[in-house]
Amino acid sequence: MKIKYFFALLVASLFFFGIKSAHAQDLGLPYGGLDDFIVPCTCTIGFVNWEVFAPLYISSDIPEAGALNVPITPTAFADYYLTSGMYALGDEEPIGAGCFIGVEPYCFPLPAEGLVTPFTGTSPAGFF
Amino acid sequence: MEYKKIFIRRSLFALGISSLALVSPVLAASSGLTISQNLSLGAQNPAVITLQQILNSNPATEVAQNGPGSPGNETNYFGLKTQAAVMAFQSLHASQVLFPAGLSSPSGFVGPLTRSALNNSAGVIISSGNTQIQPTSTPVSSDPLASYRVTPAEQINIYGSDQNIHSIQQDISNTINSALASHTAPNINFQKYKSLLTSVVISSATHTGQAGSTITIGGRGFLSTNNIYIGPNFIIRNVAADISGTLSFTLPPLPVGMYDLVVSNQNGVSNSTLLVVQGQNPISVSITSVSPTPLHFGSAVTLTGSGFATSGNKVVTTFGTIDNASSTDGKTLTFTFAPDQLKGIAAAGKGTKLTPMGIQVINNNGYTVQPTQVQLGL
Repeated sequence: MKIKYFFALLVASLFFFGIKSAHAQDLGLPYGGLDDFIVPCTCTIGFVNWEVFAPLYISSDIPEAGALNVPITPTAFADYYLTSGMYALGDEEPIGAGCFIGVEPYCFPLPAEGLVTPFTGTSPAGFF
Repeated sequence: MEYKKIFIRRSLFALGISSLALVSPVLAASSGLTISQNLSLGAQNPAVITLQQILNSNPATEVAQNGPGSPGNETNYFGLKTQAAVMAFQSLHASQVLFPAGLSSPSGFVGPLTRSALNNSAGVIISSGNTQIQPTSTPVSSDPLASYRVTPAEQINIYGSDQNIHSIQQDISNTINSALASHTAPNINFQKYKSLLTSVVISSATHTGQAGSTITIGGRGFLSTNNIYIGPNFIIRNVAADISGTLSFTLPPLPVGMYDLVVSNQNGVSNSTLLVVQGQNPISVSITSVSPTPLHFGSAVTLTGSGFATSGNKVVTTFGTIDNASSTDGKTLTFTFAPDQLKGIAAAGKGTKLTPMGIQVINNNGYTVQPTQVQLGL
């Protein structure tokens, strides 16, 4: 429970205090990838999705498969909301914990490499 | 006496020829290769043979290249290949067949307008009871799409990368659903999916266009030489990436419709992305309302808007895509919302946790401009 509240507070702070700089180094690690699969984090306070990217590129040209936590708020750039089938490009904070699925008392964490910041843009969905 | 016999024989002979000359046009007129009834998918009668023969007179509308339905092997069954050939014909003759009916995309239904265009596109020679077709439409040598057709040597599985990604989706979905059902933590190992990943990735592309327009594709893993597949049957060969790593090509005069764009090179085959080839007067696709609200897993959903196609609408939601949704009036679209990855969560939940979700529609007319946001109760 404490982890969920901490995560919710972190997410809220990212949006309440705003982005002071557009510089990538201030916002986290650059990432890019094909958004394949989305699951809502039903046990996490607030609106967060757990999203699988395959391939996923984080500060590297080597493709991997992995997941990122994505707050459900408009992104800074078109097409403004991540949807499965879109290619996303932006910054992510390397905070892995935070997504819990299920229903109380059976809430379980899903593994993620980071938290997507609003500094993200997407392609129009055209896949799947 | 002998002269009389010769005269009579010659007279009879001349009479026969003149009779034949009189009869033949009558025969030709009454037995003309015309389609006089409406035809649609599933029909089974001799008129379908005539339909296939007319379609096969133009390589751009061939029913099949070999086997049943191919030139010389026409059948009396109106199947999916015949329907596809009819739709290609309707696209090529859109100004005669579609626009007068207020349509912008082919239907595959052979009604009065399509019949008239088909009947005018082929002449007939009748000889010894067999029907021959004298095509008056475009001969083979001037097929505008000849240079874009995939040859047997170029055939590949353009969906290989998509299939790998779908298998990753299914595996993770099954893992999560099983864990939730047994009240245990899902154990997900991403490393095992590494071998399924492609290094050729389309990240962005022009998604709608008309013949002659420029299509641009952005992504990763493009080389100095790339082939771009437009569906499994058409190809743009040897496209070089420009200085920014982008691929561009001029859209050939393909029939109106949705096509899967895929890039293939020595690194592999990319994921696919949809390209909608539009007609001269494309209809915009829009969603004005969604019901019910909020949605729930398993809901029968109705979208209200415009530009929906009779069939083949692709409904893209945040949590998955519904293929081939249908619309009877172009203004309402119905489908059932039940993506696999939400099955376990929906079963565990009470439907009271609301989460935002986006919905878009893609069809032969184009794309909705932006996702419509709705609430989903899990």
